[in-house]
Amino acid sequence: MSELLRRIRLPLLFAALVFGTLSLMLGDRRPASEERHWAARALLEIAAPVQKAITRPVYFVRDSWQRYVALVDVEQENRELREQVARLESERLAFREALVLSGQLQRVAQMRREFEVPLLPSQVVGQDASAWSNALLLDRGRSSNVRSGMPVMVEQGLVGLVSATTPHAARAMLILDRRSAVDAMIQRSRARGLVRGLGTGELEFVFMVRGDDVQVGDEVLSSGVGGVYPKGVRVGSITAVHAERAELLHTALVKPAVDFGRLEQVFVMLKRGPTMDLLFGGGDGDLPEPAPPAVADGR
Amino acid sequence: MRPALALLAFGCLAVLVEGGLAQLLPHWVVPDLSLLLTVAAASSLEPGLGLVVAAGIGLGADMVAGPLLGQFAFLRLLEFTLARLVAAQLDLRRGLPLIVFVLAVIGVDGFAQVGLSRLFLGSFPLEPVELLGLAASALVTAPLAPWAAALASRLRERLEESDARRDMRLETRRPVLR
Repeated sequence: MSELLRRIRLPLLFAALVFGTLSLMLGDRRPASEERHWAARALLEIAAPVQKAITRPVYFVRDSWQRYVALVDVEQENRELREQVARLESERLAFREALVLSGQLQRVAQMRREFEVPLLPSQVVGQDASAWSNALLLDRGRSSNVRSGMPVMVEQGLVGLVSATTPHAARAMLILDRRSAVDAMIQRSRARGLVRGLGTGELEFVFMVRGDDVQVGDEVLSSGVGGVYPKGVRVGSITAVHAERAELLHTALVKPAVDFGRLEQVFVMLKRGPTMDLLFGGGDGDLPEPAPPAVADGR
Repeated sequence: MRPALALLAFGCLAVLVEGGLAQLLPHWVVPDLSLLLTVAAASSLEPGLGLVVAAGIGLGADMVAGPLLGQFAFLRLLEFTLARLVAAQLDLRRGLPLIVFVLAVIGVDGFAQVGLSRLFLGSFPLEPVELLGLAASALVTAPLAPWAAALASRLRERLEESDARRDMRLETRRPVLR
């Protein structure tokens, strides 16, 4: 009997171990929602801290490598990255500028298509510093066919009128100027009036007919009636209406469409209106220089 | 008994090292140390203890790897048995036959893992890239087999030698004590 046991001991052990491992696999194949084999649970219980014990030093080594040893070249990398950031920032600015220019050029092209007469681009090289006038100095003059009385505009709207020229420069009176007057209309209601410069940053829309529909937010366009400015150029928008019942003339404040503080380039319309042609008789004469206002003059 | 325990301890340590390396390196670069020690145990331990050691090493591997618990234990048992059977025909103490055998065993082990997973878990797709990984793993693992065998052999010799010395020491003291 003992001899038999000794002889089958090894196959028995093998079979027992194989059976044990197979039962472990069978126990482990159940879906996770079911209760797992007790042996599997026991092994997993042991496995969890063992795995933790393994991963902890490994993570320590890996983290140490990443945080300390691998940082040997970090200074060089940092320098390179800084250079890259500077280069990318410069590129970003260039792209942004290009986008701005692209949008601006699109608007300019649209504006040039709208007007049949040629528009001459001109750089703003100076701004009138006197307290009584609002004017710009442009880098194009008579040699570029710029004449007094020609309207000046940008893609946002009306800027003013050329008031004086030299062979290579021109002076343009802004619509903000107290001498300036633009025959205009409300885009929505077609109510007509006159936009006058107040000498400040705002304009005044003066309309005669009582009952005309003028509201805050209305867009004001040039009407073209005065024979100075072309029709349909944006002047500004109504910000306040002062309609006194007893008065014949009502007024409204207009915020200019153009940001005059940021003008860099303007367009001179190379054709004068009929009124200006009549005034100048086809010549190259300049508009008379304005006299200082009486109030400011003290007279 | 002591060499078997030592080999089991080394097997468990190998599993830990394997698990640690697998965190840092691609799996196909990590040698299958537990398999090497199982094969080494086949030539250095007596069969009964060797089976227990192989199952123990396999269970250790099951703790940290494999989709199925008991899978590695089962495979290590089979590999141990296979190594014992082949050792009866080939001299696995020599380097080249041992390397060739380990190469074959790693291939069998890989396909057996897939087969067991398919059998017990259902669908287990085998991609060509996994076959390449298996081949790479075999090429990394097999050359280390002679070192694993030498380690097991030296471990057994040293521990058996120390047992023998202790016996001798006890023998020499007996007459003095009498």
